[in-house]
Amino acid sequence: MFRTIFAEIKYFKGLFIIIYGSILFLFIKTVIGELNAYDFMISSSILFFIAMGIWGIACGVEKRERYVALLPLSIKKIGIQGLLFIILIKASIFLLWVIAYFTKHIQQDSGFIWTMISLAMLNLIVVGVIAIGIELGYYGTRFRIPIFVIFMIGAIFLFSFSLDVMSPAMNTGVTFLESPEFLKTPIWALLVSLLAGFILYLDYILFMNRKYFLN
Amino acid sequence: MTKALEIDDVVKTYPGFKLGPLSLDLEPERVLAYIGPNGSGKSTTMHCLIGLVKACQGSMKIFGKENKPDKTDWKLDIGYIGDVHVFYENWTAEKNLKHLKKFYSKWSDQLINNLVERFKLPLNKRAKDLSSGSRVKLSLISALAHSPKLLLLDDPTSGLDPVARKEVLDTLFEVLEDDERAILYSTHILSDISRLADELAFLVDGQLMSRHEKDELTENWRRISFQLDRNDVDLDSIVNHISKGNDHQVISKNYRATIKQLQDLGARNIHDTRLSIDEIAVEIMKEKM
Repeated sequence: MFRTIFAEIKYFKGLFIIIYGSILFLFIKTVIGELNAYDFMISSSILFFIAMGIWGIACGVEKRERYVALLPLSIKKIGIQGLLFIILIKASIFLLWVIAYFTKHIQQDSGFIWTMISLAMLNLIVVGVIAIGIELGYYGTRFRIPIFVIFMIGAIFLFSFSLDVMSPAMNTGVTFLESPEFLKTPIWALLVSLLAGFILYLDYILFMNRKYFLN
Repeated sequence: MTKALEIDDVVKTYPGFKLGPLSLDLEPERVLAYIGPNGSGKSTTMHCLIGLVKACQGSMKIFGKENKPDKTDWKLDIGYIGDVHVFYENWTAEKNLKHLKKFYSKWSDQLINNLVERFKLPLNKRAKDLSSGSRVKLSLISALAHSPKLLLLDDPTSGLDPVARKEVLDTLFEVLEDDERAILYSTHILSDISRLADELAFLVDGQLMSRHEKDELTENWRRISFQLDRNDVDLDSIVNHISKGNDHQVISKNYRATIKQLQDLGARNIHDTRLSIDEIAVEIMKEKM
């Protein structure tokens, strides 16, 4: 089940060493109190996007989908493994956020954990929407570009809105305190999580119903 | 006996192209050359078989197992080499093979070593640094290492220069010559496969036009030269007719019947010569197109 995931991690170890090295560096700075928790989350989110972008492009160039589709694996497993890979990378970064949260230098506030969850889910939404755009390319519908554009604008808006509202002053320790209260609630975290789940599920369904795996 | 391959009423459509309805089967241990011009649907058939493309209708079975995307057992019986060779490009050939080994229980390192030696594949080179010929060789070794009962070869040497193509094919045929697996080999260059093929199937514009035993073709198709004092030689079994004065040359798909008919017409100095399988294929394709 996890053979293709481990293969990807092994294959892209150089990329992941650089990305995780940078994230760990930021993590340490956060833990020792030199970096704001928001800055850490946002910087590591950007590093996550960079990692996913490079991975996605490299896999496209090497026609990884064709490679994997030729292996004795069911399409269902291939689809789940792809999503698991993205979630695993995000989860490992999220784990560092959680550890950072429990260190004494970060404002201990129940709202912060909900903000953290929603930001992690927003990361997945952006990557999931890009994946949906790629999947729609296999359907040949004339609506695929408008559909993708609407999804993408929605995801970017949601992400930017959350960041802007949550981080009006990126380098100060008061960003969290300044952000609106509703972004620190479990309801918001739940809504964003449900949306992330829907986007990833949609991605999986589109993958499963594809007519070809030649790329 | 369970057939190696059963394609039943398969249809796949793309804008401006339709494959099928296609029905085709292959007995175990037989080699079928799947011949057709570019764009005739050979690769589409292969892609549907291996699961890279979903057919619009029909069913495909490999040793009795339907090639459903939610099942994997049928894939274990297949070795596939397409015209695109995909690897983990930054891994060495050896590492690529080691990775594939994890997916196949019947993977044989001994067979790998044997094939690597025969193909003279540089195992320590990264896939992206391999020559085109060596990439094909790595694909072939990957496809053969788990001893599949059915080999699907989709124009594997396309894009290779003639020297590399000959080198790859010579070694491949040497490996496959005494083999007992079923092979479906699609190509538009018949000389690539004529040495191995038991049967030939001709595909034109997505339709299977005809299928013949190779021995039957080489036996029946002949070039016949003769002399006759008339130009209108219109016989059913003739596919090509050239004449210069009283000298005639025809290609017959049933030389015995043609000779009999020519004798009835009063032809003189009748001589027949065998045709190569390539020449026969060209005539068949010309006839069907």
